[in-house]
Amino acid sequence: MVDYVLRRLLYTIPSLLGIVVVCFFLTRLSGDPTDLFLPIDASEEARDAFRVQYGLDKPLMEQFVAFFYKALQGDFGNSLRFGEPAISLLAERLGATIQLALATLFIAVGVGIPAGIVSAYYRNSLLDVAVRSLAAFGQAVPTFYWGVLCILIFSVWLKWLPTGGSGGLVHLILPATTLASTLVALLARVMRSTMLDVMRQDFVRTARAKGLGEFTVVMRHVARNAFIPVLTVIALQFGVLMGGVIVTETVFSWPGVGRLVIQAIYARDYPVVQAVVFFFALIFVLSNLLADILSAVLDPRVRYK
Amino acid sequence: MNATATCGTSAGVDRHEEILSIKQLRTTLGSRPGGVTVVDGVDLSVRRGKTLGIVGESGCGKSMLSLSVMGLVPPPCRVEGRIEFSGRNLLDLSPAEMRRIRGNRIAMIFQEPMTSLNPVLTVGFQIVEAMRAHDRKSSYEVLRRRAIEALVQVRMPAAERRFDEYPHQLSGGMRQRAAIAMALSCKPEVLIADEPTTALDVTVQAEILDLLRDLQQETNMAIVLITHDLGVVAQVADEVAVMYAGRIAEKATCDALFADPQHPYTLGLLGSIPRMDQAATRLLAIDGVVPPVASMPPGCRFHPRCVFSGQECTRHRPELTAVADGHAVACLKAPIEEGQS
Amino acid sequence: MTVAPVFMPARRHRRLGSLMRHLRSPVAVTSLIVVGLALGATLAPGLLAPHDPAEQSLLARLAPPSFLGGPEGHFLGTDQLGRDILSRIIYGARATLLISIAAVVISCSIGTTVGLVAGYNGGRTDALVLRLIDMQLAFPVILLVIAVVAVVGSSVLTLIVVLGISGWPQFARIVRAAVISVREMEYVEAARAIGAPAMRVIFRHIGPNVLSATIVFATYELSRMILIEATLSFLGLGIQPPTPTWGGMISEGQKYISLAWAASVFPGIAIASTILAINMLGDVLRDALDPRLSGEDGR
Repeated sequence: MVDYVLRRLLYTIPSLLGIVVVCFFLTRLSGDPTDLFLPIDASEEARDAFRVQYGLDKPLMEQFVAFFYKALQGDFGNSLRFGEPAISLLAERLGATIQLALATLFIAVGVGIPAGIVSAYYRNSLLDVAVRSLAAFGQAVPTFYWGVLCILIFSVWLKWLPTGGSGGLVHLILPATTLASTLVALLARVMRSTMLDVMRQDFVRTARAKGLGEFTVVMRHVARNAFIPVLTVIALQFGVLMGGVIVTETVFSWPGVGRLVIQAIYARDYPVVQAVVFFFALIFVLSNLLADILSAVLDPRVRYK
Repeated sequence: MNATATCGTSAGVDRHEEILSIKQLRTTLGSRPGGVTVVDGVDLSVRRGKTLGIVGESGCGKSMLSLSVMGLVPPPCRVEGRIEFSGRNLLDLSPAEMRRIRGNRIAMIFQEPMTSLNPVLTVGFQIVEAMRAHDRKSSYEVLRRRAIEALVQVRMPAAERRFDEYPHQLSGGMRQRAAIAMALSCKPEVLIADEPTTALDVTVQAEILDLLRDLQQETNMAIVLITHDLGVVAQVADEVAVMYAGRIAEKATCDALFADPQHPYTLGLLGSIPRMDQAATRLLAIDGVVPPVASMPPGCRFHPRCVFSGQECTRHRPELTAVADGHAVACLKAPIEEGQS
Repeated sequence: MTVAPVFMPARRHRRLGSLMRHLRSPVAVTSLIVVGLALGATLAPGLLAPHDPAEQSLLARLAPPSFLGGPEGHFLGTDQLGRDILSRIIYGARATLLISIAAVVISCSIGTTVGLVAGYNGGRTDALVLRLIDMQLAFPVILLVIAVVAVVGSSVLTLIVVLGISGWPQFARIVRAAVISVREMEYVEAARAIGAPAMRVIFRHIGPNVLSATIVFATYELSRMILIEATLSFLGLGIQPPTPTWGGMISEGQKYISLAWAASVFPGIAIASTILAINMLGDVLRDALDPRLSGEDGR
C-alpha cells in the first residue's frame, strides 16, 4: 500500500512539472511579456525597469528556474490591478468556490449514483429509459445554458430564488444545481454501465445463493464494486468541473476563484491568471491522485499489489 | 463410500429419507413467445446423506436445473413443475420464504472459485454475511467464531488468519474451500455443487472431492453434484442422472450406470473417459455438438448424433422407462446389447 | 496480404449495409436533419436567414417571438438592438461549426500520426508518447484553452489551433492500441521478414477497424468542441462581436433576461439540439461500425 502511494506520488511529478512549464510559457506566448504586464503606452524606460525588476533580462532558463522556485512557494507576483499578491486574492475567493464545489459534488453524487443504480437494476424499464434520456440530454446542454434557464425559471418567472450573488443557502441552490447538472448526467451514465458489468459477475450470484436480500446484494455486492471505477471518472471530470466553475460563477456572480480569473483575464491581470491556472491544475492533479489512492483503499486487489 | 454400504440397513431408512424431489420441472428462459426451454420435464430426487451426480455436456441444462432449485434463474424466466423440499413445493413459496431457505437449508457452490467470491470483501466477512442473513440474533463475535470453525472444518490452512484475507490472496483450492465453508456455514440439508472442481488442478480436485465426502459423513447432508466429468461422478456419487439437451437421458445408481450403461449418449460419454481398470475394447466417440436450445430436433433430441438411431427416433419422444430396479433410460432402442451398432 | 483483397470489400459492404440500416431509425433521421440544418446554416446562411443578422431596428427591440404575439417577420423575436434572433442563430452556426470541425480535423490528424508512429515503433518512442499523453490528460483542457486564449487573444485561427492541439491524446491512444494489436501478428512479421513495407501492411489491416473507431470518437469529440467553443464565446473569450455566436448571444441575452427571455433561450436550444443530435449520431455510428464499443453505452 505504502509502495503504491509512493509510486503514484512519483507519477505526479512530471504532471506538476508540466503545469509549471505551461504557466511559465503562458505569459511568454505573445513574445514580449512587458506588453502584457505594462500599459500599452508604457515608455521604453519603464519597460526596461520592469525587465530588470522581474529578471526578464536574464536567460530564459534562469528565468524559468526562478519562476519555478517562486511558484512552489505560491509566489506569482502582485496583482497588476490591486497591487496585492495574486495568491492572497486567490485565497480570499477560495472559500466561496469550495462551498460551491462541495455542494455540487453532494448533489451530483447524491442524485447521479442512485439514478445509475436504479437505471441499471431496472434495465430497459421505463425508468431506465427515462434516466438514460435525461442523462443524454443533460450532457448535451452546456452548463452556462442550464444556469441561464435556471435563472429564467426560478428567479425571473417563479421568483423563488435570487438571480445571483452570495449569502445564505438560497444563493447556493441554483449555482450548485447548475454546476451539478452535467456531472449528474455523466455519473448516472457511468454508474449504470459499470453496474451492468458487475451484475454479470459470478460473485453476485453467490451473494444471492447465500440468501441475502436483493437490496443487500445490489448495494453491498454490486454498487460498492461498481463505484470504484466511477471514482476515477469523477476525478477525471474535475477538469471539466473547473471549466464549469468558471462559467457558473460568472452566470451567478458567485464571488469565487472562477469569477476572479475571468475578471483578471478581462483586466489583463496576468499574475492572477497564472496563479489561478496553476492552482486549478494543481487541484486537478491532486484530485486524480486522491482518487487513485481512494480506489486502492476500496479495492484490496490494488492495495496488496 | 461408507454411505453406499449403510444403504438398506434398518437405521438407514430414516437417515436416508428423500429430502429434495424434483417433478416435471420445466424452465424457460426469456419472455413468453420467444422463450427457450432449457430444462424440459426433469424428474429427480435426492436423499439425505447421499450424493446425486448430474452429468452432461455444457449447455445441457444442468446448471439451469440447479439455479431453478435455488430460485435464481435470471429473469425473465418461467419455472414450472414441482420442487419438493421437506414437504413443500419451493415454486409456491414467496420470495421472502425462498430467501430463508436459500443459503440456509439449501446451499450452493459454483464452478469458478476465482470469480464466485467478491474481490473487495474479506473471506471472513463473506462467510459471516451468509450466516447473518439467516441469524439476526447472534453477536458478531459468535458468528466470527463459527466462521472460523467452518474454515477449520473445510481444512483451510491457517484458518484464523484467512478470515481477514481477501480472495485474491488465496490459491484456487483455498478459494473453493472458502466457498464451501460459506455454503456450509448455515449447516444446509442440501448442497448443490455446480462443477466444484472443474477449475482446479487434478490433485486439488481430489482433495476437494474428499472434503465434500467427509463433510457429508459428518453432517448427513444431501449433495447434488453437477459435472461434465464422469470420473468425478464415479468417485463420489451414489446415484447418477445423465442429462442431454434439457432432459434426463439415463438415471441409475452409480454402480449400475458404469457397469451397464444403456443410453447411447451415456455410452458415448463413457467412451470418452480413459479407463484404467479395463482394456479399451472400443471407443465410442460422439460426433457433433449439443444442438442449440432454440432449434431442438423433434423426437429423441439425441438422434442426429446417435449411431443407433432409426426412423422412430425422429418421431417419438422417448420417455424415461425402467430397465432394471432403480435404472431408467429414455431411449427407444434400449436396451442396447454389447456389439450392436 | 493475399487474403485482404478478397475479404475487405465484403466486410466494407457489410459495414455500410449495417450503417444504412441504423441510419433509418427515427432518432437517426431526426439527428441527421438537425445536423444537416446546422451544416446548411454554416455553408449558406444567407439562403436560410430571413434578415441580415446585423440589421438593427430600434423600434422593435427585445420583441417576443412572432408566434407569441411579437411583430411579424421576427419568428423568434429580436434582441436588445432589435436584431432578428433567428437570423443571428443561423449566422452564428458558422463560427461554432467551422472552429469545431477544423479543431477535430487537426486533433484527429495529429493524434492519428502520433499514434501510428508510437504504436509502430514501440520502445522509447512509444514510452515518450505515452508520457506526453498522460501529461496532457493531467491538464484540464478547458483551463488550458482559457489560459491560452486569455493571453494570445481570440481569433478564429487561435481557437482552431488551441482546440485542435488540446484533443490529440485520445485519438493517439485509439490508433496506438489498434496498431499494437496488429503489429505482433504473424502476417505483419512475415511481411517484414520478406522486406515488404510493414507500414503498408499495417494500414491495410488496421485500416477498417481503426477508421471506424476514429470516426465514432471524432463524432463525440465534435460535440465536445462545440460545447467548449460555446462556453468560450459565452465567457467573452471566443469570437468577438459583432460576429454572432451562439454562446455570445446567450451571454448578451442574459443581461436582459427579466425583460425578454427569447434572446437567451433560443440560441441555447440551437446549441443543445446540435450537440444532442451529434451525440445521437455518434451512438448510431458506434452501434453500426464498431459493435465492440457498444457494450453498454460505456464511452
